[in-house]
Amino acid sequence: MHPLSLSTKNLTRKGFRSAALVFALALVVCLLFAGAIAVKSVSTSITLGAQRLGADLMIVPEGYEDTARTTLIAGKPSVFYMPESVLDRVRKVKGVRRATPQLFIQSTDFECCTYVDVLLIAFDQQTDFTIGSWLKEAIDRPLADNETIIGRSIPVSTGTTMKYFGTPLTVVGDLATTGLEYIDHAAFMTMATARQMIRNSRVDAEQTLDIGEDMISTVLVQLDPAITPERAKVFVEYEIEGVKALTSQDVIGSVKRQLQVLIRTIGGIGLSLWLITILLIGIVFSMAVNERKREIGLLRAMGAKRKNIFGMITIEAVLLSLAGGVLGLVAGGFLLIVCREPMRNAFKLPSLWPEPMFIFLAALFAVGAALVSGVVAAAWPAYKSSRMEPYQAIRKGE
Amino acid sequence: MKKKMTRKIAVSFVPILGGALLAGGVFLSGPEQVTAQSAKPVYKGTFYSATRGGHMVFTKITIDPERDMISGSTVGRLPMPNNEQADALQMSTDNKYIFYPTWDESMLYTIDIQDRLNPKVVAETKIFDEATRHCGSDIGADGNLYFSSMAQGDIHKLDISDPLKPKLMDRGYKSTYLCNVKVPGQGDKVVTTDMKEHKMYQYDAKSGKRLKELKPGGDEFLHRGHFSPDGKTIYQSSTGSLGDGVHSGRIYAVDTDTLELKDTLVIGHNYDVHDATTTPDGKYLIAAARRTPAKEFKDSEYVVINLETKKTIGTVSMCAGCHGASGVDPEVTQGREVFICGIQVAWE
Repeated sequence: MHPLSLSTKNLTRKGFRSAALVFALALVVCLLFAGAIAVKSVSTSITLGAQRLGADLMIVPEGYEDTARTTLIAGKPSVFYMPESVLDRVRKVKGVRRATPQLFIQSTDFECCTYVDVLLIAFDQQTDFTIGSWLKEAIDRPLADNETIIGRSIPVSTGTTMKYFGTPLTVVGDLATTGLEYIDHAAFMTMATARQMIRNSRVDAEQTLDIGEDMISTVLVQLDPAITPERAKVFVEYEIEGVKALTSQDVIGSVKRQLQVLIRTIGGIGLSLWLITILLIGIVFSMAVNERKREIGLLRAMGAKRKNIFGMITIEAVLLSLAGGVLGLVAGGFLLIVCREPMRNAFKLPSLWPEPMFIFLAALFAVGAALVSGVVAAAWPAYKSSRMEPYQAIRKGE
Repeated sequence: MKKKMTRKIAVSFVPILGGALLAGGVFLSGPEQVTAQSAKPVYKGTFYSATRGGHMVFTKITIDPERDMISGSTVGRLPMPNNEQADALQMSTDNKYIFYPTWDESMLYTIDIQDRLNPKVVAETKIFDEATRHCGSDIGADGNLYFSSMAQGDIHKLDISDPLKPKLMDRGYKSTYLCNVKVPGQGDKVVTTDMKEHKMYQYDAKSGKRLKELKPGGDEFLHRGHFSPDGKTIYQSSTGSLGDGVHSGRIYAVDTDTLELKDTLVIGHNYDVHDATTTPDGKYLIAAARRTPAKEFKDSEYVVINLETKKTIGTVSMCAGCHGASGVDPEVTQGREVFICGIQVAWE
């Protein structure tokens, strides 16, 4: 009989025990695979988003650094303002190549009266170097007054007119998904439209926008390549009182700090489960070998070599590990698809699927880990069984 | 026999007579000449050091060149408000303040030392959100304060025109794990040391370009250092050998301009040197040296060396003496060890 079919028969004969081992391995693989993909998704989307933003520095009023990070990462509408004069001062700072202002408006405080809750972002088309490139993908002309381009997360179709603070905004296009909620959950308009919106809010809206004519929320900065963002940040904060400069590394770093908790939790649980599973497989195989002493003795008496016995036990472990690995992958994939949105909302973190190659490698690693665990755990029982003398094994097995 | 005896007495009487005449002459010639005779000045200074114990320590030391010996008075301590460890400290050029940055919270304390043995924290400034672990320090000709960051691997330049409100104004000269920073002459160059790369680097201050490098010894940690009074030499402290927990601490005399090794002064076995400075005339060198193995000694000493004879003339215990007297047996943990690092001296 072929060792593979013998091993398969042995496994099916003890169905419940085999299923329990497969389940334990599947749990480890599921956790490893889903955890790796989830963490990579967040990190990929933040890095890509920061790159797509195209700015080396984001300058915000002092004390609003955390709020600004939340705005960038979670797209949470935020209200922070500083005088427009900051823009001119930023332009004079050493290493600054280009600087452009943006004005954030929270769509409304009243849940009753909002068309759809978005982050309204006004930008200066003359000096802009971030939004413009995305606009070209959506419309092949500058944005006119009372027009808006929306992020992909906003459930409104092109041509729709939304009204905010007494100002109609016609959607003329939408942007591709970036993974950065600051972009995906925003409606972009010209600075002139925003200024008009502030004026309209005083006469034609339920809620007045208390924003001065000369206020802006942030200045986005592009630097001379010779100056690092970390250095330029120091220059800006030294030269201009009352502002803070965020680098993309600041934003990515804050997400990484949040992710550390997630990674440690997943890693801790995964490692514990992994060790328990290895121990479990070792114990179960030792028990199985003890139970099958007579059978092993007979096989040896009928001419089976030591390596055949070792191979038979190892094949059983490999089969169990492969089954556990594949089941774990399926469960992990299912978990990722089902839990993605709830997780995004719960942790306020963006997530884009990583590259297919990363997913493939993660799957390979997870199954490989299961395989190694199974084989390592079964190695000693397999070796022990292969060393049994036929006569002794038959006698002890009786 | 008698003749011999008389000769002996006569011979021994000559120096006595000579001495008496000399003394009489000195006495008769007045006090100015007494001063001119003992021309070697006595050095008195208040020494301040950063420690890993959450406090700055200080003591008064007198170096007497006449007798080639030192005397130290009682050690004092100033607890830091955040109780954090530190390596770097830098005295202002007017000797009124000490800037004292702590490791991980990156708090920069301004300490008023005008009352030398009664220092007070008068201002605190948060300079970074992340850990800095400042190690080296200097004040350049531009009047700005320079700190080297082990954690961030670069030099931080601060505007201290208002000592109570230091402001970060620039950063650069990046390598891996910086310790010393020195800004020679008019500030057109910057010299740093990197502990992980075991090298000294010289940079062009304007362009930030690396000009020269020197590996003065083996794979050892190059800590802090000071200039000689003429600025031509950097006395660079070092652990000496690494790895077995017992060091052979040494000080390298490095040419500031050419970055060439001029001399090596071995402090010795069981010493890990963290800083070295000189008396105002450059004749004595004072090293801040940790005794190793650290867990056994739990102490650091100021080791005073005569640079002409290259001999140690005395030491002052800066940790164990004080801890022992106050019945404290500090626990040695990672980042909370028992030793002093940077030295600053307010000479009288």
